[in-house]
Amino acid sequence: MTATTPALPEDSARRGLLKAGVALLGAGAFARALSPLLDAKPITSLAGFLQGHYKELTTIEKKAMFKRLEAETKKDYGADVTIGDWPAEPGVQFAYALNLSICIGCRKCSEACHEENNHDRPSGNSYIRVLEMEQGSMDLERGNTTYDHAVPAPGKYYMPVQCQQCENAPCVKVCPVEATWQEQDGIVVVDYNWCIGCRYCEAACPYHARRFNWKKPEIAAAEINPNQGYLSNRIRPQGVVEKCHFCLHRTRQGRLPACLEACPTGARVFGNVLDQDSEIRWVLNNKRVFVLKEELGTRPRFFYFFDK
Amino acid sequence: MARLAKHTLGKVAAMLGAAGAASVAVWAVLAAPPNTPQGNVKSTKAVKFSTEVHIRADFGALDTGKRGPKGEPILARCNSCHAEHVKAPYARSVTDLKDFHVGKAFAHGTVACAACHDLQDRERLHLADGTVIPLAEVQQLCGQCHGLQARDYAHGAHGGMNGYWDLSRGPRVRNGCVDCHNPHAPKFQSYAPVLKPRDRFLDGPH
Ligand code: HEC
Ligand code: HEC
Ligand code: HEC
Ligand code: HEC
Repeated sequence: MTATTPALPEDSARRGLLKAGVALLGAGAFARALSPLLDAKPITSLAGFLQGHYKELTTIEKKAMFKRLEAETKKDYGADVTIGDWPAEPGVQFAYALNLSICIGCRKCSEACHEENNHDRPSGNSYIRVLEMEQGSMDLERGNTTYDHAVPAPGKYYMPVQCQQCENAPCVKVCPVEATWQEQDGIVVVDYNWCIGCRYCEAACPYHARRFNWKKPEIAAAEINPNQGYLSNRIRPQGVVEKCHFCLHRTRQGRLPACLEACPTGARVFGNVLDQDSEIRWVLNNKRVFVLKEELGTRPRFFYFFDK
Repeated sequence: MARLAKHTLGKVAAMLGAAGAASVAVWAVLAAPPNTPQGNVKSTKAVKFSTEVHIRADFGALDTGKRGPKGEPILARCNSCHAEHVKAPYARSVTDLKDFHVGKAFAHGTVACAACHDLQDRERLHLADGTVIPLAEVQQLCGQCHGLQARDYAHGAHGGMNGYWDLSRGPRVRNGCVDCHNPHAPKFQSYAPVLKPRDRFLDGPH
């Protein structure tokens, strides 16, 4: 989508990228990618070790597993939490759009994500990176994420980037153990109990949307959001990859994502594209939306637009 | 920027159109024939809950700066002065103000006070055609001169919201124009950014 790069024929560009992504992990990086696995603490419970693949578990098995995870959170973090599971609903296809003429780069969305999703406190982790961009440039690689002055700054615009929930997701394809997949409503999820931490997906993502848990997240009991989803904001174990899941523990219950609610500017629009009357549908039909790195053929369901 | 937007957007417009949509997907979804069975689609038509627009509590009154016994602000109704003592319109613009409301920040084009305030009843506003509206309906007034934003707002694409995307499951609350834009100096305020990223991944551009 970069205006300066001529669009390559879709397929070759994509394959080129995927190869590059995997090749990156070739030699030394491979050892480094695996090293966190080596110092990850052994799985404490036998039940945890024996847990089957999430998609194959029965409702009863899932319930038992949630109870066990809740008890582990109590033991490790001293917090009473409820872990639930909300399946994708028929008739719902989520999409997100962001108005770049409105966003001022205040990072309130990143902060809301940090809190909602029980991120590690010391690292200030968040699923959303906000890039400060030169006006007129579309080169994501040159966006600065560490700006620290009043916003909006003259001559700049701001581009929040999070998981684009691609239809044709490179991260899903490279996972060797099917620990990450796309659900019916379009959300790409990670089963943190199934993930082996190889980090192929992190390397494959052209949007830098995935994060690796190098250590066990640190978070005070009082700050833990107790409303947790198994595939979303429950506290992640060490040694697994995580990413934005459109706040599925909220959105699959009809609520708006935390980052949207936190936005003081109203730059974010979310909803069900299958619904002709939805706000998101209106935006897709009436604004000139575009996707990031369109030339890679990832087919994001996260859209951007300018008012003028 | 506008130019860049146009460049990429042409393509997307094509992909949004019913035809080429199969290849790039705003997906098959948007290209779905209009007669797609809507029965199982979560629709805002099944609206059971309302969307409420936030209204400022202090409309129609001035904060005197004094505080009551419980620390509550003491307000003076506009008309406590304007109905009795200050009947005539005295000021067109902020620079005409001599006795009162002096020092008000005013940066809204060259719009005159009377373009918005009704000078018979200053607790009300009026539209261009003279229709008098209560302060709480200020959105209509703004919308007269800012049609694009008013239209976007009506479609949820300006001004944001809180609560439920699915109005069959819960309500929604929205900010009014003047929650975000001071009517006298409407430029959106500047912010100090929060949550500076600290992880190794984010050091510098890449
Ligand atoms: C304490 C008395 C007082 C109160 C309360 C008051 N005003 Fe005024 N207002 C004045 C005076 C005096 C002027 C004339 C100022 C001048 O000419 O310098 C004025 C001028 C104005 C004007 C400029 C046009 C004109 O009539 O001259 C507007 C508009 C206005 N006031 C609106 C309001 C509104 C709206 C409120 C309530 C939110 C309000 N005022 C409350 C005393 C008051
Ligand atoms: C673009 C429309 C618009 C114009 C022009 C305008 N006002 Fe207002 N004014 C409003 C609205 C809407 C409110 C109520 C919202 C609020 O309290 O902030 C208001 C509130 C006020 C208030 C009470 C609250 C406050 O901010 O002190 C005063 C006094 C006032 N106006 C005076 C004036 C004067 C004097 C002028 C001309 C110099 C003027 N206004 C021009 C729309 C306008
Ligand atoms: C009578 C017409 C009129 C009305 C009514 C009006 N505006 Fe404006 N507004 C203008 C004009 C003219 C400008 C452009 C000023 C410029 O370009 O310098 C403007 C500019 C703005 C801007 C951009 C300011 C900036 O510096 O970036 C905002 C935001 C805005 N108006 C909000 C509002 C809101 C909110 C209301 C309702 C309280 C409102 N306007 C009512 C005429 C109007
Ligand atoms: C949630 C906060 C919010 C609400 C509510 C809101 N706006 Fe805005 N509006 C913004 C922001 C943020 C901008 C972009 C400002 C910037 O870039 O400095 C903006 C920009 C504008 C502009 C200027 C566009 C330009 O060309 O610079 C106008 C005019 C405007 N809004 C009118 C309205 C009107 C009319 C309403 C009510 C129907 C409204 N706004 C409600 C946040 C809001």
